[in-house]
Amino acid sequence: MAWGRRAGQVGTETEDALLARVARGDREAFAELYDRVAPVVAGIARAVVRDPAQAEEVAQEVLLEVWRTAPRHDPSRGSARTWVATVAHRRAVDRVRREQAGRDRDARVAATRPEQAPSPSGAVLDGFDRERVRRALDGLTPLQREAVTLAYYGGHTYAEVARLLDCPEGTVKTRIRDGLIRLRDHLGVTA
Amino acid sequence: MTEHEPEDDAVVDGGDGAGDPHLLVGAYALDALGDEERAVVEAHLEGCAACREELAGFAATAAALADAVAEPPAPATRAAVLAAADVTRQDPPSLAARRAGASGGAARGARPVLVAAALVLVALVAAGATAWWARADVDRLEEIEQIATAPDATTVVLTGTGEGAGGGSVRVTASAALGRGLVVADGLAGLPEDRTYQLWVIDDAGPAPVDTFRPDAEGRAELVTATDLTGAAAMGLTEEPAGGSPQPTGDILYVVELGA
Repeated sequence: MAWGRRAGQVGTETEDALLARVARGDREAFAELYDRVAPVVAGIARAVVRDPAQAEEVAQEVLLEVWRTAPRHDPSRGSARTWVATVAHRRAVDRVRREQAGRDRDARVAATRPEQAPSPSGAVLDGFDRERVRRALDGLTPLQREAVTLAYYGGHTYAEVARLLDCPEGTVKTRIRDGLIRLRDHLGVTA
Repeated sequence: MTEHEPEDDAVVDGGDGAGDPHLLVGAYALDALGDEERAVVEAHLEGCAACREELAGFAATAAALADAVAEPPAPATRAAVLAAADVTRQDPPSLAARRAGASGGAARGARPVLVAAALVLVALVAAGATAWWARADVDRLEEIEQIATAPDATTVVLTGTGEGAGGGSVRVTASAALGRGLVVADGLAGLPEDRTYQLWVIDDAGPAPVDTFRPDAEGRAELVTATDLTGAAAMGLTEEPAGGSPQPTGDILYVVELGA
């Protein structure tokens, strides 16, 4: 059996343990890790990139990058899930900025928000359920929430967010930071 | 940690000055910076432990935001990615990951070195934040790995002679083929500013200086040297004045007989 478990079957091994095996070239572990993190990768790619075909392309690139660079991942820097999400978001944003260089990105004000997103896949195991995240977002001030979601889900720079919200850049910068601090504390995330 | 929590969303200019990378870590964590500021923050992170810690928390928070929009990828993606992985070579490892599960006699000698190398990686990454998971000192790690995994690599352990403060150990893994050695010291006594440890290879002609080094606060040190132990009858470690000595002036603190 070359690729281990099928999608949907959920193992008990933590994602961090799986990633450690992937870092040693374990393809079966990669198949299992894929099943655990692919929804996050696909979700963030779709939220940021919007175009389904391009989002799928980005998701594939990211997941392959996870395989390729897993040996370089330093577990002391953070969890497997955080690392994967970081790579995914960075690549999605890179794609959007490359594609949209020269175009008017401000037209894309309607950023994807969790409340507009499809329902949970059930595959999110080590992750946060979206209800909790939504409640945490609700705990932000409106400007904090707008700034964080436009930046993260919309893939906008804070300067773009400032234009979209018609706010000074310094304000947006601060609200993003304050918003993240509040979210972090509310969600009780540990690095 | 105290933080500024505005009571309302009064729109005020933060007036924090664009020059303060501290305040940009949040936007960095959300990939909300332009290229220029991204580079500024990455440079800042290398020297600011507080911001690295904050970034770790923000990155985990961003991952939670990603979780909230998780949805299954297209069904065909799985087969495509796994097939691509099948023919894609992984990047050179951070040693610990690749070797942690290795077993058998061949690996045993190398393991302490590899563990040490992993510590080095951790230290390097801690010291050199950035893009951010990946930009460790790859060249150095590759050199370390080359030595540690060289087919002819041999590892010797210098043990305390009872002179000096003793304790700990010094391991040397050397490859004659590469002409390089990797020295990993652990549990060494600290030294005053003006003193250093010095390694010697000892053969029929007497001791020849190798390298000097100072342990870190935990008594650890790790260095790649040009010695490969070829022809050496023994290897020793002494404490010397800073800069090292042409001939040992201190007692031999650690030694190993090589019987060459």
